[in-house]
Amino acid sequence: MNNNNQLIAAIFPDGNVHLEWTTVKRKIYKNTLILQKEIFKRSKDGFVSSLFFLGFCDEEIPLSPSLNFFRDFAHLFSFKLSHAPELEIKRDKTEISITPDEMAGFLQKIPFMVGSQRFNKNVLSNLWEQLNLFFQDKIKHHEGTIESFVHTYSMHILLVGRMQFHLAENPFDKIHPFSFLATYIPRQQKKRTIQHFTIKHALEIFDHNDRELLELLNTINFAARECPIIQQMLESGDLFHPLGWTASEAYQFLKEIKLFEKSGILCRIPDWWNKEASSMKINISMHDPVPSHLGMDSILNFNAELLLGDTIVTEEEIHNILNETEGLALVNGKWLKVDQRKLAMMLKMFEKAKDAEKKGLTFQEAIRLQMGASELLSSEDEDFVLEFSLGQWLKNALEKLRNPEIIKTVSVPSTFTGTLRPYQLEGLNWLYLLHSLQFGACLADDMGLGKTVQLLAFLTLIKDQNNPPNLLILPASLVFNWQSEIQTFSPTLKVLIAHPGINPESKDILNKDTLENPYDLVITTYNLIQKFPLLKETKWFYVILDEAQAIKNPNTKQSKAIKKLMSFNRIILTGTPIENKLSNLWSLLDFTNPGLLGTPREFSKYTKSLSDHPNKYGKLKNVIQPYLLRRLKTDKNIVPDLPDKIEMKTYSHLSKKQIILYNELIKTTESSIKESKGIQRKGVILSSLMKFKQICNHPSQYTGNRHFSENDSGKFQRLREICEIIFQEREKVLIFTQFKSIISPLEIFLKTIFGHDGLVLHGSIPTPQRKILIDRFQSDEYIPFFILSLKAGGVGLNLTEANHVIHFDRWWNPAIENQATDRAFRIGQEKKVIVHKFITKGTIEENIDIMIEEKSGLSRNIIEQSKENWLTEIDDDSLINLFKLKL
Amino acid sequence: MLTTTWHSRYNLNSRLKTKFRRKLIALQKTNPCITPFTNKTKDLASNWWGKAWNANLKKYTVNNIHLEKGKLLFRCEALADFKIDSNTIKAIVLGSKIKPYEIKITIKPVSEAKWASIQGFYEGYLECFEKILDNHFPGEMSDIFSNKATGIFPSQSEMSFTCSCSERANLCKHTAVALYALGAKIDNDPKLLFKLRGVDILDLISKSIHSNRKSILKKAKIKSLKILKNTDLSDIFNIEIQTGRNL
Repeated sequence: MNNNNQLIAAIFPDGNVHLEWTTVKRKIYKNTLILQKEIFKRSKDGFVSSLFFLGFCDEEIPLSPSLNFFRDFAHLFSFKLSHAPELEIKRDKTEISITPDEMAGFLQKIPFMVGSQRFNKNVLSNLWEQLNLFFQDKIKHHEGTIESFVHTYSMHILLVGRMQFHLAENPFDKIHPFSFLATYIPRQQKKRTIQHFTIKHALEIFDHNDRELLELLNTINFAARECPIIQQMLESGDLFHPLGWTASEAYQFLKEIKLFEKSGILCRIPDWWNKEASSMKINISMHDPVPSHLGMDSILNFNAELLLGDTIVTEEEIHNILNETEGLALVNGKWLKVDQRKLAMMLKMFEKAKDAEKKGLTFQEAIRLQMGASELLSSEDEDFVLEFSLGQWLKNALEKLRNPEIIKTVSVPSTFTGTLRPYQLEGLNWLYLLHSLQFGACLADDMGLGKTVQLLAFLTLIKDQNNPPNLLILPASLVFNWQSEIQTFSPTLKVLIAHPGINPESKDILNKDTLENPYDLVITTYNLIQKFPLLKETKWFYVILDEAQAIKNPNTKQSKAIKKLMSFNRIILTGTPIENKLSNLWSLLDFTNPGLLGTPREFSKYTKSLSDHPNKYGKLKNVIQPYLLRRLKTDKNIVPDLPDKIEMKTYSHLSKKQIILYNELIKTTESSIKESKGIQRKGVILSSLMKFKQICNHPSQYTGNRHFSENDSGKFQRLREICEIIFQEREKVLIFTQFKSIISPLEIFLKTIFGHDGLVLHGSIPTPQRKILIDRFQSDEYIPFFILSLKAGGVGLNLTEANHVIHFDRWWNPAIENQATDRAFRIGQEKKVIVHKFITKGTIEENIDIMIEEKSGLSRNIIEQSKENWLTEIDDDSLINLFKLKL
Repeated sequence: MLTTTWHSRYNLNSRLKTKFRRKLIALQKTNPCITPFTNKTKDLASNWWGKAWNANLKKYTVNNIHLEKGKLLFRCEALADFKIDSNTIKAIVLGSKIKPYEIKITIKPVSEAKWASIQGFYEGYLECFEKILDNHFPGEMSDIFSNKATGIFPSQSEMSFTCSCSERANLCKHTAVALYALGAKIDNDPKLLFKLRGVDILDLISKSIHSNRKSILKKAKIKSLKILKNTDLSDIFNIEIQTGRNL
C-alpha cells in the first residue's frame, strides 16, 4: 500500500457511511497507515464494526478529519461504556445513552466531508443506536467478563464504576458546603435500582465471599497505588466515611478527577465543574447598521460585556476575585470554577475589546470574530469563550438568508416566461435579498433542481436599462444549454455570446475598447477572460460563474484574473458540493464575498486549528450559511415539488475534428441519397443516420480509431462534468447507448472519473449473467455506473438504485427511451430520477429533437410505431436539411 | 528416530498409535479399571503452567533422548492408565514388550519452613489472585513461581521415580511419558500443582485476602473530624445506599 493513501468516511445518499481510500500529497505516518488498515479491515462487517473499534483507538494517532470525527464520537460511547457501573450486571441489556447536549455538540463538530450536507441528527443517532446493538450482540456471544471483551479491543481501557466517589453540594452548611462519600456497587443486585454500599459496609458484608472481597480489595489497592491522594484517604480513614468539605477541599478533590478515573473510580460530581467553557465568557453585541449602507465594509458599533456564569461582572469584581485564592467561587448562589490564569487572560481580552468599542468593527471583521478567526481577540489559548450577538435588524436579515422560506416573496416579472417551483421561488427571493444587501451569493442546489432557471428569473427581475451589463462565465460545453434556456425562459434578455469560436460575430465586438450595445448579459468562457481586455476592463453589474469549480484553486492565473473583474456584486452557481474541500470553499467564497473568510494565511491557520477545536466547524458553517444555498433533491421540503422524473436536455458541442468529419459526411450523403430510390434509398438514409450519430458520439467511433481522446468529443467532456458531480454525491448512474462499440471506450473513460469499476450490459451477455450484474448493481456495494446497450437494457431489468439516467445517444423514439428510463424509475420509488438526454448542438441530433418536440409534419403515433423508419419517409431536401450542421 | 523426515515420522507415529490402541484394548479386557490419558491438543501444553512444568523437567539430570522419546510416546497414546493420589502418581505405559510398564512417581511436599517464607512473597500479589482463581496465569508472577527460592515446581531431588522396565537410567522414557502427562494436567488445572506439593493455594489466597481486609478495616476505625453526622446520605448524594451498622 502506498504511504500517501488516506482513509476517509463518506455519507452516501442512503445515509449510510462508507470508508474510502483517497490519495493525499503528503506522506502518511506509519502508525496512521497501520491503524487505517485495521479500521478498513473491520468495515467488512459493516461500518459500525469500524466505528466501535475507533472508540478504542489511540487518540494521538492522526487520522483524516472525517475519521477523527467518528473516533471522537465512538470514544464517547466507549468512555460511557467503561463508566457504566452496572455493565457486568446488565451485560447484553446494557443501553448507553447520549444526551441531547452531547448530540448537539457533535453536530457542531461535523467536519467538511463527502456527503456532509446529508449528515444530520438522524444519521448520528442511528449510528449511536447501532453501536449499542453491536455491543449487545457481541456480549451475547462473549463468554468471559465484559472486561475481557473490552480488552480484546484495548488493553488500556479500565472499566471503572464499581467504586465511586460522590461529591455533592450541601447548601445548609456554610463552613462545609460540600459533602463527599465513597461507595462500592456489589455484583449481586437484589433490587432494580442500583444499590450502593459504603466501602466499610462492603468490606464487612463480603466476609464470606472471597471472590467479591478480592475484587473490592484489588479495586482499593489499585486505586491507592495509582493515586497518592487515595492512598492518603485510605490511611486517614477518610475513604470509609461521609465527609463534610470546605470549598478549598472540594476544589483540591475536583482537580484530581481525571487521576481518580484513571485509577478505576467513577466520579459523580456537580455538572458545573465540567461546564468550564460556559462559566466565563465575553459577550459582544453588535449594533444595527444604517440599513442603506450595508456591505462587507460597513462599520458596526458594538458593546462588550464580561460574564461569569450568567452574571455580568465588572472589571473591578474580576480583580477582586483574582486577588482571592484560586479555587471555587460562589457567584449569585452558584458555584463556579475560578481559573486564575484564564480569568486574567479573559480580562486582558476584555480590555482589548473595550478599546475596539470606540472604533467599531466592519461587518466583515464582526463575522470573522463570530467564527473565532479574528485577530482582534486572538490569543494563544484557543479555549476562551466568546459569545456573540448581532443587532436585531442584522439578526433578522441573516436569519432570513439562512431560511429563505421566510423571505417576503418578490413578484416574478411577466417577461420571465417560465413557472418557478416553490423552492425555486424561494431561491429567487434569497438572491434578491442578498442583492439588496449587496452580498455575494453561491447557489449550489443539486443537479436537476434548476439553478439556471432561478438565475434567469433573477436577471429578469433586476433588469434595468441603467444597470451595466452582467457577465456570465462558464465552460464552453455549457454555452448551448444556457442559450436554449434563455430562449425558453427569458426571451427579452439581450444576450451576447462572447466567443469567437461559437459566435464569429462576437470577435469584432470583443476587440473593441468598450462594449457598445446595451446588452443585458454577456456570456463567455473561463478561457477567454484573460484574452480580451474588453472583458477585463468593463465594469459589470453582476459577474456570474457557472460550474465555479474552475476557480477552486486560488493560485491559478485564471482564478486571479476572474477575481479581479470589477462588478457591483457576484454570484456563483455550482452543482458540486463545494463544502467537501476547505481550500475550494475558501476560493469560491473569496470570489463571492471577498474578505469573509479572511486571507489565505488566516484561513489556513483557522483550518489547522479545526482538528483540535472541531467546534469551529459549526461556527464556520454558520458564517457561510447565509451566502450559500444548497437544496438536495432528497430534501423533504423539496421532494413534493419535484416530478418523479426530471428530464434535462444536455447540450454538447462538436470538437474541431467532429465538425470536419460531419461536413464531409454531409457531402457524400447528399449525393448518395439523390442517386438512390426505394429500398436502396431507405438503406442509405438509415446507414447515414448511424454514421452521423457515431460522429456525434466520438470521431474515433466513426473512423474506427482505437484511441478515444476526451478532447475530441464534446459529449465525452459533457459526460465528465455530469459524472464528476454524480461521484461527489456518491450516486449511481445508468448510461444507455445503442452502439455496442462505444461501450468499452465509455467504460474506460468513466473508470478514470469515478475511480471505481462499473458494469456493462449488452446483447452478447447471456441471461443468467445479466441477473448477477443487476444484483450487484442493486446491492450496497458502490458501483457508480452501469452502461447498457439500449436494446439489451430495454426489458425486464430493475435498476432502481440509480438516480441518474444518461441517454448518451438518441434513438429518436420517445417510447423506447422512456422504457429504458423506467428501469431506474419504478412506481413507489421515493428517489427522484434525473434523466439527461444528450444532444449535440447544431447537428441532426438537435434538428430531430426539435422536430419531435414540434411534431412537425408527422404525428407522434407514426414516430412511436415505426422506430426510426419514419425518417425515410421525408423528402430529399428536408432530409438533407435535417442532416446539415447549423452552428 | 528423530532425524527422520516428516513423512516417515508421520508414518512411524501413526503405526505406533495403531499398535498402542490394539494393545490398550487387549489390556482393558484383563484390567477394566484403567483410564487411559491422551493429549487432545497438538501441543503438549498451551498455557504457561504446562509449559513451565515441561521446562522444569529439562533442568533434571536426564538423558535428553529419554525426554524426547517420552514426548513421542505420549503423543502416540502410549499412556494406558494415569492416576493421581495426593502426592503419588501411578501410571501404566504401553511398550514393545507384551507386559506394559508400571511407573510410580512421588513428589515431596514443600517444607513448612519454605512454604511459610513463600507465603510472604505471594501475599504481595493480591491483584493476581483473581486470575489464579479463574485458572488463568498471572504473568506478573511467572518468575516468582518458577525460580528456585520461591518456586513451586519440584526439583529432581524432590521427586522419586520407579519403573518396571529394565532401563538402568534414573529417569527412563516411560517415566518421561508420565511426567509429560502430568504437565498436561497441570496446564489445565494449575491448582493441582499446589496440591501435589502438599500446599493449598486457595487457603493461601483466602488468608491473604482476609489479612488485607483486616488491615484496611483497621483504618476505617480512625475517626476524622470531617465525618458528616446525622444526615440522610441517600438524600444528599441522590443514590440508594446501605451503610451497615455503627456509622
